[in-house]
Amino acid sequence: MEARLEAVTLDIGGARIVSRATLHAAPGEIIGVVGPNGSGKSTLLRAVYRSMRPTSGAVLIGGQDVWRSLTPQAAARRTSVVAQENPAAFDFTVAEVVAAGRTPHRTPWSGESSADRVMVADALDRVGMAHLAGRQYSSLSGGEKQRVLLARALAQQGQLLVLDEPTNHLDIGTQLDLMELVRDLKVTTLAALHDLNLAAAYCDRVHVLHGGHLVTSGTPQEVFTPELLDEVFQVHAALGTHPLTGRPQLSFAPLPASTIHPSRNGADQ
Amino acid sequence: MSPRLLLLCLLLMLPVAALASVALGAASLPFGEVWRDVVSHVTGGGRPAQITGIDDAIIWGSRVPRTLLAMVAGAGLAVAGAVLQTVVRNPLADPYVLGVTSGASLAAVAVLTLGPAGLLGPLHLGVPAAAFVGACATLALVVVLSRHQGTTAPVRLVLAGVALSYLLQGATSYLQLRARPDQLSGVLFWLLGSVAGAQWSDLGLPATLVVGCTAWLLLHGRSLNALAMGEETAAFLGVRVHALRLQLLAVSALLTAAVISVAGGISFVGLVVPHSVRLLIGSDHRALLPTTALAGALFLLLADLAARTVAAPMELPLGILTAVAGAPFFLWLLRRDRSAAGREV
Repeated sequence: MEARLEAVTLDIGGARIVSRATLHAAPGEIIGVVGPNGSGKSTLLRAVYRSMRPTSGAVLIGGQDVWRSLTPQAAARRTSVVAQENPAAFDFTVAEVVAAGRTPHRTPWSGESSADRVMVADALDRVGMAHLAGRQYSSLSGGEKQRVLLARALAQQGQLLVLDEPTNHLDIGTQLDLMELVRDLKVTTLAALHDLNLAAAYCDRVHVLHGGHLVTSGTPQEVFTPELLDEVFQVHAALGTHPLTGRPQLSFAPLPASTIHPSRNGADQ
Repeated sequence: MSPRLLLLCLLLMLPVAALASVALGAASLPFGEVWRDVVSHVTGGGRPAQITGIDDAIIWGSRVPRTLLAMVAGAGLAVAGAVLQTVVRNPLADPYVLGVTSGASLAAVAVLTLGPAGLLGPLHLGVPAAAFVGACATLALVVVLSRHQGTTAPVRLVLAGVALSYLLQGATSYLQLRARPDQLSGVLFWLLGSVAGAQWSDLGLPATLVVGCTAWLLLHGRSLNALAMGEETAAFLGVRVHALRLQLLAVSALLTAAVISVAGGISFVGLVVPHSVRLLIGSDHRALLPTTALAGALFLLLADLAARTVAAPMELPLGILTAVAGAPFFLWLLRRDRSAAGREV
């Protein structure tokens, strides 16, 4: 399903976090949103999955405005989400966590259908977690938890997948596993990513957020230029080719001291 | 433990405990007489000829409504506790934390010590009605106080509730100090909770509210599960989080108010029972809520049975029993299930 953000602006407590962000994801594309800490990536995604209402602008998923034309339930049927983990107050089993993905598809009066149970089992199977269905979610490792949350997103069956830094705190093997899983889903994906090399390896196009503004977009090769990385991330970078996969690969070094931008060390001066 | 097995156990134990509660008490009556009297009334026969009017008044007029009220009160408080714990996402929440009980107590004690006209002057509320109004008004105040930029964050709710609780308890203590000696025992009994004076006419409102609210909550079981997994999670799963939270708060206040207006401030049920059930069968609200209701009913039924038998002929207030029985049981459950005890709060 296609997703389109039109001049989305978000404020928190009077402070502007995102200014007029416009982006487009064609069906089946994996779109990366990258940017330094505090650039507004997570906040922008919240507007997409209907957790924070934009001050102005529109979020269209499959041509429908999620904030003005769709009910929360209808929006939740279109958009599957893996958000950053926040600890639950009470423990659920893995199967219960995944079954929650069916919430937007059911009315209060409908019981758990056998179709639901099959879907939950399938989702767990696809992420390789079927054998842990009866375990307590809180007892899982970080990588297992992310897989379970991805399974819940699969059970939600949205045609747009929103991922907010899905690989945080995961070891490198688990990070690559998770991104491979996402790529194999072949569903339109909007992912906030910290790791620029993961973005370069898996995203069809990337958008760069800097201080709440989308400053540029394009394929990883087009976007990750030494000039842009210097300006946005304040690093010295070189773009090469991954020796094993042939995808673009970045190498980083700190900027020489004399060229550090005043904006970065403003507080010290 | 499977949820069905626990539900079945409770369904088997409740009638047995209820019968014991009707058969035992200060006046020792033969079990056969008790059984005949209850069966005759239930089947519409009225008082059987061979049973004296006094015995009938004890059995059908006093012990049966008392038993039913204990069940209704236990179910209501336990369900309210389970819901509040999910709403404020804090395992320590119960009707006390949000100030609901303190509000009810202050209103009831005000009526008991200052007379019906002392509170709200011309309305002349009785103790139950005053407690009901006090509970609902306190929760409304807590919600208003904790609103910030259009939302009601769980942490702010708890902080506002605890702060207001202390304020109201201070006022209640002041009224207690000013109370005449002849009023004091009534005040204390009410503060600690009791179903001893239960009458048939007390049962209607709490029973209706407990059944109705529990049914309404069951319909929202999925949304409650989503909310328990996190506010943002609930939002992207299509739950209208703010509206649902206010509805859940209102329902818990209604449940609590309905119960404590007739049974007084019975502590601990709303905390201990939902947790014990969670440790046994997990957190899925569709299984948790009905099981918690039955477990709460059984717990308070047994507590009341103990209250009038352990120190007979003296009757102990229920709140003492629920605390003394509930706390050690809760600690034992916590030690048994270490994973639950070690989870972040």
